[in-house]
Amino acid sequence: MFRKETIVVAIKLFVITAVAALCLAFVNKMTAPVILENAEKAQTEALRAVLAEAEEFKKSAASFEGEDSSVTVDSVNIGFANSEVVGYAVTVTSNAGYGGDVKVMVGIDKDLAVTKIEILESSETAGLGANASKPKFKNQFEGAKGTLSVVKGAATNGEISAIASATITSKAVTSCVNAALVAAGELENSDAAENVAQTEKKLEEIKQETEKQIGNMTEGEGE
Amino acid sequence: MLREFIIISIGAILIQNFVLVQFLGICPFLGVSKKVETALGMGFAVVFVMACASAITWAVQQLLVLFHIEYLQTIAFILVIAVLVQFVEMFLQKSIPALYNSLGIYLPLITTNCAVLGVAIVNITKFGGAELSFLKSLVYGTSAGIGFTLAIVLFAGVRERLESSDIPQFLKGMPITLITAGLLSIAFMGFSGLSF
Amino acid sequence: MKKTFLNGIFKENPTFSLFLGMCPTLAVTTAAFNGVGMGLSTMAVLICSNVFISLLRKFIPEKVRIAAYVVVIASFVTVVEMVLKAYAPAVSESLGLYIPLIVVNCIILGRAEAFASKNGALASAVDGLGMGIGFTLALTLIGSVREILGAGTFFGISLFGESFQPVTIMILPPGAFLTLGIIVMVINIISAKKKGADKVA
Repeated sequence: MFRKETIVVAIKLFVITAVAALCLAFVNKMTAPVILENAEKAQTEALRAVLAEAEEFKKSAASFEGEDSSVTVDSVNIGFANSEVVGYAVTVTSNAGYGGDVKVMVGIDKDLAVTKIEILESSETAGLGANASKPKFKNQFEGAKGTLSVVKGAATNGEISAIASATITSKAVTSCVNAALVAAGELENSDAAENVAQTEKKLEEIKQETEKQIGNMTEGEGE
Repeated sequence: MLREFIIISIGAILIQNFVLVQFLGICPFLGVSKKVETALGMGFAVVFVMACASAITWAVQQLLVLFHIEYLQTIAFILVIAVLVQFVEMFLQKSIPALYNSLGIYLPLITTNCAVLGVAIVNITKFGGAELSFLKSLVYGTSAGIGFTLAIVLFAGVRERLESSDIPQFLKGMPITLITAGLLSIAFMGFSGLSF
Repeated sequence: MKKTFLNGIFKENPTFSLFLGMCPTLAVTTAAFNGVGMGLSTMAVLICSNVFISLLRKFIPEKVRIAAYVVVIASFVTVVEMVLKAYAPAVSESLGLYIPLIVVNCIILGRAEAFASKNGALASAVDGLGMGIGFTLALTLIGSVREILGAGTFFGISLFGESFQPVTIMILPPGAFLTLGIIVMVINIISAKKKGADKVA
């Protein structure tokens, strides 16, 4: 008797879980595309914000490795206006934030000066590190060139004044900007337009490859 | 590599203390902290469960990713934790009765301790695809548990003293407890300078 | 019915008198907006899970009821999480980790066990609504106090102008404990006065 009871209990629990999982799968199917769309929209908005001059953006295929191991360059978007390169939007993540990763998008013009920065993701302390996304801190980077360093108190040329009680966050953001400047410099020297041409060629190759594969598959079905 | 583990560990115990900085596991922190002895018992139980939970949820996450059903994460983790707590209880009862007798009453409470689910989710977002993510999760989970124990035992010590002190009428009970916790939290803020 | 509804808002306010669901209460209330977001999300989960558990109360076996409740609650939490991500990304961004943690909010499991498993669907929904509003009000109150003192803003609108030096500690972790402690103290004083007045009358 005990056994039978256990089985009934197990089946009931299983039914509840299965129904729950099914419902979730359904909701996921509904919301997943919207979430993806949101992310894309946020990305384009950020690109527009940091590099207002550019009319369209193309992703660069080049990869970058800096000396600073705490930062990684995630992606570089090259901004075009009238099919001329007008600047770069570099997305950099630093793992040296106070609350974990800090993701920053840095806009850089053709003269390798920062146009604007945008904090994309961070889990810094509200009231301290989170102030990094306030204009008071962000605007310091506008027009900056070369390698920047963080100081406490008033800053002179080439220096960034740290947010009060949030030196770690300030340093993390600044190292992101430095890495972005280096990456943009490399791209500028290596002729960005060529780079894009390479990307497009690569894409074309991939496209042809897939078409070929699809062709093969349909042929296979035909036999 | 060892250095990295030490950084993770100190970070979880002191700098990003689960209770006083991240507010995870507040219910037991306020509920089971009247006596140092019980606080210690609860603390050890949490360390144990958090370490196990970190290891198992890591494996569960691999499965979820394999089948592309990451959206079932919350439901899967909470079930795994509930089952885990049950198993730990049964295992201890049979094989280490002495430990069971001292931890026994706290174990069921741990299922609804948000620190355990919290550590599982933080592990995934923090170390998700990183190298050695399993070991890192394990270190982080254990350290977070130790941080919890540290906070709750210190707090219990203060509360024992509070019992015999003269507190204004309106502050008695919860208000003074919360304000004490606030002061302890200020003390832990001092550790932020330790960051690497 | 009205009594059930008001019960959650005043007499058994989950935050100020039952001290349930402390983690989100303290963690996300750095701004009034976060308090509202967390309160409403929790309320949505609370109402849905209360209704479902009430409907399923004959089907769910006694022995595994807690596990069954947890599954129901976790499903609704996941639904809320996905919906927020899709249609209110700002809320989802600022609440982050604490959305999945609604699962282990003791209010929800507590209400499932204490109310929904014994009452009908409609009564359970009203109970969830009352408790949810109580929780939302409490979170918004704490969030407002902390935001006004700690950042000088209210729902993001600057109140005092540039010269105001915010009391940053209020939006840091210690501020959460201190604010809640002082609010509870004020409530104690008010209810003591009220009792005193009742006696005199």
